[in-house]
Formats: sequence, C-alpha cells, structure tokens
Amino acid sequence: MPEQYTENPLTAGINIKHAPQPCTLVIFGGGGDLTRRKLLPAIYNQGLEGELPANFAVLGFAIEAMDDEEYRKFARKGVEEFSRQPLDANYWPGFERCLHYLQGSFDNPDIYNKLKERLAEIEGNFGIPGNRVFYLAIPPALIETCVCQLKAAGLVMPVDGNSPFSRIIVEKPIGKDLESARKVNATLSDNFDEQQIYRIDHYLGKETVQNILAMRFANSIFEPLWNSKYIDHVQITVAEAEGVGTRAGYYDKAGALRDMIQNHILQLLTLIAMEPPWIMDADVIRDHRQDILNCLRPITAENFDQHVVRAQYGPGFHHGEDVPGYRRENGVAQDSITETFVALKMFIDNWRWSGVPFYIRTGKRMPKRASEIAIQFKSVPPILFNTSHDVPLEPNVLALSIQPNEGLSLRIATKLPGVKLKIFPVKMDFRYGATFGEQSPEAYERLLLDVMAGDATLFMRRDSVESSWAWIDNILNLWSSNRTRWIPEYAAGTWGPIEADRLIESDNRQWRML
Amino acid sequence: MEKHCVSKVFTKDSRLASIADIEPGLDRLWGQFNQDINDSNAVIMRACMSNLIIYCDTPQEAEQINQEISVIADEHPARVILLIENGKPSNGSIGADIALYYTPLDDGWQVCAERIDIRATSAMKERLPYVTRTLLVGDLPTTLWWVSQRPAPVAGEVFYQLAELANQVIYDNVGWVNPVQGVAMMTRWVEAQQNTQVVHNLAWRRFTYWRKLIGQVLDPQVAPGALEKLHSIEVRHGPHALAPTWLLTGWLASRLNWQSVDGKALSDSELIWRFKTKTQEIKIHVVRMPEGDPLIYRILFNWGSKAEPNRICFERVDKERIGIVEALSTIPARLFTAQVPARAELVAAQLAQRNRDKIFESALKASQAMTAVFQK
Repeated sequence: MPEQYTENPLTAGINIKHAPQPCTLVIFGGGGDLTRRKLLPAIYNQGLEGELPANFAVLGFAIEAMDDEEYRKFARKGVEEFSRQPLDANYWPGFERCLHYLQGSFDNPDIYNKLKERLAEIEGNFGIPGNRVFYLAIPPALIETCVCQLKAAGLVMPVDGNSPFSRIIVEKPIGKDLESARKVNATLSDNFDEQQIYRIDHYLGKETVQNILAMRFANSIFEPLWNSKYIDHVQITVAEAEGVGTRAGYYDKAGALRDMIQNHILQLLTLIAMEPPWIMDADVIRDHRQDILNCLRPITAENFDQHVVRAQYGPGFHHGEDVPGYRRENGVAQDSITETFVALKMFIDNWRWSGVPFYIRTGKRMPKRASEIAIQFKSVPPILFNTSHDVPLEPNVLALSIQPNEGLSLRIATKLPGVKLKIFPVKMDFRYGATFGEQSPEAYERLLLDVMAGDATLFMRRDSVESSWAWIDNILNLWSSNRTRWIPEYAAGTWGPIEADRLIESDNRQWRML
Repeated sequence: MEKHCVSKVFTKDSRLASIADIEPGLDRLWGQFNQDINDSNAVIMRACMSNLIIYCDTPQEAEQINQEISVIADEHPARVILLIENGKPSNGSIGADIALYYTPLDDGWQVCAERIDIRATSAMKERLPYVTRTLLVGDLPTTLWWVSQRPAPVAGEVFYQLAELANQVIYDNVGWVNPVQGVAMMTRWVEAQQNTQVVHNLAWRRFTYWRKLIGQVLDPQVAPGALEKLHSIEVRHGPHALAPTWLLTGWLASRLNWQSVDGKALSDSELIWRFKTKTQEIKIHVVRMPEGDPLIYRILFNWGSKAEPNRICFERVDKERIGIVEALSTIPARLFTAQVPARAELVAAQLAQRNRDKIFESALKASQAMTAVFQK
C-alpha cells in the first residue's frame, strides 16, 4: 500500500472514463427557462439513476428573487413538468437538499464574493474538494461580464494538476458571425484555459449522433464503402414541425442558417465525414472533425445560386389546423426576410469525399419533426435486375434517424416471392427504443456528466466554432450584399420551396421522403 | 422505481410433442401470431440480441423465472432456452413448450423473445446440452444463466457442456448453502477459464452501488488518508448474504492490497477476518442479522489514530436508499438512490456486457485467499 493514495483504487472498474468527479454545479441563469426545462430535470434524472457523484451540489445563481426553499420548489415544478422520469416522492427530499440558490446581478462584483462564500459553505457541508462547474445558461450578451467577474473574484483555478478544477459550460450561439465568435472565444480564453471550456451543442449528446462513430468504426462492412467510389450522395435533414413559437426575438435576428447549420448540422456532417480517429480521445476526435471543416468548399458568388436556397414559411396547416406565416408570428417584423428554411449543396474537398455532394436542408413548419442523415449508395449497373430505364432499381440507402425515433435503417433490394422475377426494396430497421428497451438519457444528462468527468469529446473546440463561422460567413455576406427584400416562400406544412427541389433535381436526385 | 414490464406472451398450442418439433412449432407460432394480429398494415419485427440459456434445478425455480423473462426480454431481446431438470414432461422423459413475447410499437408489433422450455427428468439431464446446441441462433452471443442454488461446478458435466456453448456465464451466490465451499469451487473454475469466457456473479452487480458510493466517499480528494489508515470495518448483512459480503471484502482487499492473515467464526452469526498491510492491521467484523433480506445493511469504516479517529457509516435505509451517517451522528446526513435491483434487471443489464471484469476476478481471487485462511 502506498504511503498516500493519489489515485482512487476503489473506483477502478466503475465506468472510469465517465466517472463524474465531486463538484458543485453553479448555474448562471439558474432561474431561467433552460434551467427549469432541461438542466434541473437532467440533474434529477442522473441523481435518480445513481449517476451523480456522491459529493455533489447545485447552486442556482440568477437575478430572480428566491431563497433556497423557493428554488427547490421551482426545481420540483420543472422536474414534474419536464423530467424524463416522473418525480419520485421518496427520492426527492434527499435530492432537493443539494439544491441552493443565490440571488444577484451578474454585473455586481460584490455578488461574486458572496458566491465565493456560499460555495465554500456548500463545499464544506457536502465534502466537495473545491471542484466547480460554471454553467452559463444566460443570453450571449452576458457571457463576457460573467466570465470576467468570475476570474476577478478568484473563482477560476489554474490547470496545474494540483488545484481543484474549474470548468465552464457555454451555450450556443457562440457569436453571430466569425468576428463576434472570435470575440467571445477571446474573452473565454483570457479567463479560462481551453481545456476548461465546454461549448455545448446538445445535438452531440444524442444517442444516434454518438452511434455514428460506433456504426462507422465498430463495423467492418461500412467503412470500406464510405467514400466517393461507392457513395452517390449524403442528405442531412433537420426538420421541425413547430413554428418560431416564443423564440421570435432571438430567431428573427439569427435565422435557420445560424440557428441550425452553423452548429448542429455542421457537427453532424463532421462526424459522418471524418477520417477514423486512432484513439477515443477528445482532442484526437476533435482534430479529425476539424479536418473536415478545413476541407469544406467555400460558397462563392459564382456558385451561390446552385448551392444555396433560403426561404420563409407562409401560412399553411399544422396537424390540420390553420397556422400563420412567419411574418404574422408574434415578435416578428412584418417585412422580415429572415430565413426559416435553408437548403445547401456542399462539397468536402478531400480524397475520400471528392465529388460527393452533401445536400442539407433544415426548416421550421415542415410536415413533421424529423432529423435524419441518409447515405445513398451508387446504383447498381443497368444490367441484370436494373435494366428498366423507366423504373430503375432504388439504390441502397443507410439512414440514421436522430429524432423523433433514434435508430437506423438500411434499404436493400430483394426478390418478391413467386415465380416471376420481381425486385422490391425492403427496409431493415433498427430502433434504439424498440431494441434496447431502456429509455435513452436526454442529451443534457450525458453532456453534464461528461463535463463533471472532464471528457470534452462531445463539445466544440474553439477552432471548430470559428471555422464553422468562417464558412457560414461567406453565405451571410453574399445574402447581405444582395439587397433584395424578397425571399422565397413555402407553405407551412410542406417540405420547403420549389427552389429547394430544383437545387437537388438539377443533379438528377431527389430529396428523401421522411 | 420497479421496472414496468411491457411485453405480453403469445402461447397458442405451445406444448409440443417432441424436441424435433421445436423449430417447426416456432414457425407455426409466428404464423398464428401474424394471423391473430389481424391488421394488414401492422408490421411485425423480430428483435434478437442474444441466446439466453437458463438452467433451473426444479420446476419451482423455473416458476420464479417465469415472470422475470418478460423483464429481461423487454430490455434485451433474446431467444430464451429454459432448461428444467427434474421437470415433468407431459409425455416421455423430455419435452418442450414454446412461446413468443411481443410488445406493441407505434406501427406494429415487435417480437422480443422466443422462449423454449425444455423439461427433462433427472435421468435425462445429460441430454439438455445436446438439445440446447441445436436451438441456438447463430451469429449471436450466448449467455448461460445458472439459476440453480448449487454452485455451478457441483453439477458437473451438464454445467461444463452448457458453459462451453456460452460466451458468458452468469451465476448468483446469494443463498448458497455452503458459501465457503461455493466460493472455493467457483473461484477455481473461473481461474481455469483463462480468458475464454465472461463469468459474472449477480451479487457483484448487486453491490455496484455500494462500490461506487464507498469509492467516492473515501476518495483521497474527499477524505485524505482514509484508505491508508483504515483499521477496522464492521459489516452487517441479512440472512443468506454471507457470500456477497465475502466478495465485498475480497474487493476491498484486492483493491487496497491487503494480505489475508486469518479469519474465524465467532458464532453462528458472527465472523472476523484480519488483514495486514506494511503499516497497518485491518479487522473486518461481519455480523449476520437475525432477520431481513439477503442484503448488506450496514458498513462502518474506522480510520485514523486514537488521537484523531474518523469514521463513516453507510446504511441501507430502505430498499431504495442508502444513507451516510457521519461521525457520531445517528441520522443520515445524505441519502442516495440505491434501489435493490430485481434479479431480472441485473441479468438483463449483464447480457449486454461482453468483457471480462478484471476487478471482479481479482476480488474473487482475494475471496479465495480469505477462504484459505479461514478456520471454521
């Protein structure tokens, strides 16, 4: 036995990579909507399943007037309404004891001294060795203030291997273009080390998204086909059935390109297209994803019209009911030209993907909520079974469904039973929920535990955020240089404008019916 | 928090005339199920992740398993082959029943288990491995769940042959009649496998939460010096939980590099072990409570010196929670969810494991060392 243990021998074999360490989670914006709907239910679920560290506490920090007791009631309501698992009356009393609240204004330096005192008190009570996770569930405009105040108050510990850890989680959007993203990142870097910063994109916490790597690199049948020789094209669809709802204030300034493509969809694209990493290490995986962003062919004024379509939803139907067009939504300017739909044709200029188009579409008020990545393989030669020019055989498609039903399917051609030789496409389906039975944890549950465990694999690194913005900025600049106040319209409840169909049909391909 | 079971059983004409009729019988059952669904738009999917061979000594054990199969199939769809020694076949000396387990999906049904019960008289038990061999679905991992209360090697050839068919063997040492002998036999057999199979004791999974909690609370960051200066531990367990307690102690000994010195029974319900390190002697005092479930109820750790004593006590408050009582207090300062898991849930979770658990194996080895120095 050593004189003194530096590593814990008793935690060996207990999911060591994802063993969350004892810590206090400080939620800036602890009284807000994200906290109530997502964060507190996520923490509760992890606690209920015994995944939280034994020495753990939460400190909500926000402007709303509440004390600890009121905060616990606030949390309870959030859990009752939004938790994946129902509130367990036996478990709740023990759990709520770890919830605390501090009221104050984020720009008041004095409150950070109170924060420090409160943390010391909580850490003493809960046996927490000074480890802290700061979750910024706040509007982007407040990031700089909070980060600088944390540093000034001495609440950011150095990364020296001896001090307790300080980690910070930042929600998207990181900026609204390259310049502003760089500014946010510079502020973060001035106050925290890059390995302390966790830029969260909840899409990356979804089970199917994580399964992309497993599917690609834990099976030998896909990877040999995963290139321009066998893949005809890739389609990524992120469709929402809802309209802009209560997010008009933010959304009308952002639009679909910033809201969905800059972060979620480009991250999905990198996972689909990346080269095999040689180790499951956060930085190695992020390096490989970054390589893809570096290879994205820029959109230019010359190829713009063939590669980009934007549109806005007009009036239409949702679940059989009338719904207004975007410009009639509350909080939206009547002459807004903010895009609620974007379709793109993208190319990754590297050896593997040379010449393979990636068709992307995302929009609000589409017929249904569905997110999917579809890999369409090349058609078989027009001989044997594929001789009919009018009805060619459907090519094989591997479709990864991200929501609402997480899973994957493979379309293959088979012979119909009978004496006649008839080929028919069938779909082999695998659904997470149906096969494994167990409910998948919510993305936030997984990601919060990853931060506590210090695993940044599913978080965005600074270079990745800035490369994404650099690519997106091209499109934004071309849009803003075109001074038109006109934007194509599509009826709510349809799959987008005719221009989007033309974008893909001009290549003799079609959008998939979801 | 008990898991809600969603699958239903379909068993029309399920009793078969002969073993040879099992596969055709399953085909018929599929056909009947299709007809009975009576909805032309519905899709029936078959999910099958594993072969699961379950071995019971008696029809009574099999009866207990009956409900558990649904829970397992919900979480881990499988072809389940239930072998019942001393069963009562309807005719002859070996017979079979079949069933499908299905769950509704949004747009159809999913068959999540095909169950085949094989009943054999005691005289015919040697045939069970042969029958099983013909029924396994290819390309899928196979698990043998040894439900029998006898330590598996006691069963001899039947066990060895079934174990050969499996990638994984699951057993449970709760309730073993002679834990000392059982631990010794099982450990020897596990050692002999030499990396060819995953062997898993459900008791190990049952106290995962204990391990996690103890590991976190005695972490060097949280309680500096605790692991180095531990000098006595008191464990209280319910009836039939000595074997798991033995394993828990083996885990501590293996992780903290304690050498077994000796052990002896103080009475029918009390025993003591002594371990040593280079600097410290550690005493573990185990007490069986007169009543209760086969669980570990309380673990008290003492460390430090006389001048600076420290202690922490983990106590099962009820079937859902473990509390931590610090210092001299009697009231749990903190409570954690630690539901006593149902056996079926443990099996379902273990079916998804494909790797040998080296920590378990070293705990088992340390348990064996404890057996060697134990004076009855």
